[in-house]
Amino acid sequence: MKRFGPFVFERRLAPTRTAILGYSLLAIAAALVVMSFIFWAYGVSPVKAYSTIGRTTLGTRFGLMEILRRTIPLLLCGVGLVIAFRAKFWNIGAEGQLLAGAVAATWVALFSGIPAPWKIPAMFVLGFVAGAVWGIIPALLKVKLQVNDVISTLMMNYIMAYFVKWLIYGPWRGPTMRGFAYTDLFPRDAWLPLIRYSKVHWPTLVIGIAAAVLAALILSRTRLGYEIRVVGDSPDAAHYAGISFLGVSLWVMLLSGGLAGLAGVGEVAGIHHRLLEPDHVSLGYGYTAIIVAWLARGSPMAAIITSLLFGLIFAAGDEIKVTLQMPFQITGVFNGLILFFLIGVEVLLYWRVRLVRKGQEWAGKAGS
Amino acid sequence: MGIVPEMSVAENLILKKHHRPPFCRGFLLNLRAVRRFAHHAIEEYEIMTPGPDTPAKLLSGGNIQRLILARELSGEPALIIAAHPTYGLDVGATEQIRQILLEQRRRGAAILLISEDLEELMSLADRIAVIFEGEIMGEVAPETASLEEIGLMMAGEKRGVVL
Amino acid sequence: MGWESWIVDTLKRALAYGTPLLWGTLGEIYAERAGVVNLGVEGMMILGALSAFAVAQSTGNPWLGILAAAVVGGFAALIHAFFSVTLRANQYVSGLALTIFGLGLSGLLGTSWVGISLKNPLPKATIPGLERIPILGEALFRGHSYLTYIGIVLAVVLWFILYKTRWGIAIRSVGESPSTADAMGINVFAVQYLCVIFGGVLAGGAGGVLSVEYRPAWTEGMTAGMGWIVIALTIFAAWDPLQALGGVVLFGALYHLAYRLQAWFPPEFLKLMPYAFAILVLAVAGLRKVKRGAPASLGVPYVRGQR
Repeated sequence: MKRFGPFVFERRLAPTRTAILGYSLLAIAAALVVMSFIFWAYGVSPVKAYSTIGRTTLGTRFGLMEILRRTIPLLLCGVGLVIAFRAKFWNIGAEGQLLAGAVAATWVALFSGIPAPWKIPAMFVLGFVAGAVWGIIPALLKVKLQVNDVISTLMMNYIMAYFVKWLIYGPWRGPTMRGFAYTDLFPRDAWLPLIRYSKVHWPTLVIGIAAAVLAALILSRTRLGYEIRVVGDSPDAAHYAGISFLGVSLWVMLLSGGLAGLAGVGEVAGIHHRLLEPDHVSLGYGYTAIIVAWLARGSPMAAIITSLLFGLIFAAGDEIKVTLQMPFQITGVFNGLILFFLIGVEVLLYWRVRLVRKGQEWAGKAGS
Repeated sequence: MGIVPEMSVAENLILKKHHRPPFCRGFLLNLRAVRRFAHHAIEEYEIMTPGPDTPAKLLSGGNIQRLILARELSGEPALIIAAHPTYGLDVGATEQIRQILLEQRRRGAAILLISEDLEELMSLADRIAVIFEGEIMGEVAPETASLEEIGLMMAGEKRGVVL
Repeated sequence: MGWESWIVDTLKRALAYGTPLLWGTLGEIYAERAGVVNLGVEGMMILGALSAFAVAQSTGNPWLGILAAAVVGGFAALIHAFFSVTLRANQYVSGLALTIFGLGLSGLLGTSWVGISLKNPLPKATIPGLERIPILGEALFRGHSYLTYIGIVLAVVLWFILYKTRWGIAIRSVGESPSTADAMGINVFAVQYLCVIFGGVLAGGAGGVLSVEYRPAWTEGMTAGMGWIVIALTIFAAWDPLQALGGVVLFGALYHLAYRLQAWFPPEFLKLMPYAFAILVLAVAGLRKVKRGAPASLGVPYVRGQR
């Protein structure tokens, strides 16, 4: 407990929901303030920048649909990362798992010979499997050989990216694409349906929302969810209760990687309709999803909101590039800032500020 | 092997039993059974908590101790090893935990109580063995032994029946 | 080609490729020895690379570029120190934020420098006397960048400081048990800040090595995951500066050997080799049970008066 004038700062153990929401908004606001300095330093009026972004993204149907389209991969990856982070498994590999899903979908679309009505379901199933396999490898490495999960999942991103490059420059390069490093276009029966006049591939969006609901149920209502939470919160207690770290890690990365794989299916089957350069398939969705998940604070349902927020930021990044002639990397700066401010306000969450009148200093400090 | 601080009192109470019926059927948790068990345990062990859904970390030290006891003893164990079970607790909590241990003894559990609190040992134990530098110095019954005798053994003097 | 010249060639290229890794790893070792994980190496390196290139190109002096990279790296690390030591925030997330921020900022500010090759990159140098040692002299002391020699000297000096001086004891005890260090009268806060900032200085410098020496140009994202490999090497080296030197040479040699196989493999497979090696190296470290040598309080924020 500390005192500054009439304010008393007390530690508290459990922050209220209002406090979490309030401080998260505070972090975003602080990041926006710092961003306006960056706009200003770049010679762009921050007022103009923000009003342009607001008008073009939130103010038009096209803008809203762009937000939604960016939200889909962020939501799927984000929900997966929420699950992983609940078990304190540092999955930084959603980007690679997403690409693995995209590769599997491409195989189904172009090379599998699966008949038309089954094609799209098969893309999703195999996309999930591919992402899950790519996620399970680091889980095995972590439990069996103590390989740091941050490094292994990250390295797997690079490996998958170069694998995709090899595919599109080598064996899968489309003969009809004349020198470009693409695969051929998917046949029409492997294209996901879109919401009209937009690029929103709604089946993936529906899967994403369903995944969030399902993940919330798994975490709160199942034995697996219970064990995930014990492992994440208190490894000692988990060990004592005989919970298998291997089992929990495998399940967590299966779900986390699989969901990221589904995001990859959505990107290639819904938007690009072919496999192309890895940084065109995903604009870093797998990395941004880390922030989506961190902001959601362990709640898959909250990831729906936070992925929308970052969908907005991606759509804004496009606008900034086109309208204000600034590099798209500005979104990276903003994402980094938000993450810093988020962990900064986290400290505040565990303090409560109270205003006390004279002579009342010790009121309310009962018991221990 | 303490508690899982972020999880609720109810969820903490079923740790180690969470994968067995009635708490778990297939892969689903039976939340109703978990709750029922929690209400029962909170009452029986007098755990002071706003409710079964409160995060365990919000409880006071004594109540966390009661929670752990409730969790461990509800399985009716045949052997209980209690190491410093009342260490750092207030008088009320201490008394309650001693009562719980005696209750378990009446039920027929073997209890190995490890403590440095002589008064506690004299009032609870059926037999007292004194260890000095890893070696048992002797074994006495609290009704017949004097504090002085035990004190000497604690200082390293061999007495009585050595196991 | 005889086996002697083969070894010389491999060692030479391993060191050249490994120099930025060595600088970065030595820095991360110091930060982690003081108990602070900094996953922002990639971000600090890329900011260092950009500032080194910009300054070297503007002033015409590559050494000023390296200096600028070190200063920028140090300031970037200061941000991490503030969040992880002062605010006791989650060190993983703070480091990730630094990496995301650094990659974004360098991309934003670096657009005007893309595609220019550096006017005067650092010259190569030969150490008179030592170069005449058979095989090793040729491999280690001839025709390398000054930065490579500095890296080797740093490894030895930093090893000496860490294991043979009072400063080293202070740093290690902070990483092992900050409460004990505090009780011994060591300023835990200051040691952690200094080590993290020193780590940033070297990581920034490592970026500078890349952009004014190894590939004297600026390209966006030119660190390409080297910062993460640094963290893998830190573990592989069991937090020991001399083992870091060995680890970096081994890593560089593996990379170089893969490079020699390029006639048989597509180039994409060669490019993914370093990342596969990083995982491999950690798996080997796992088999060697290196983790037992990890600073005991690594990643745990120190709160005075709490056990």
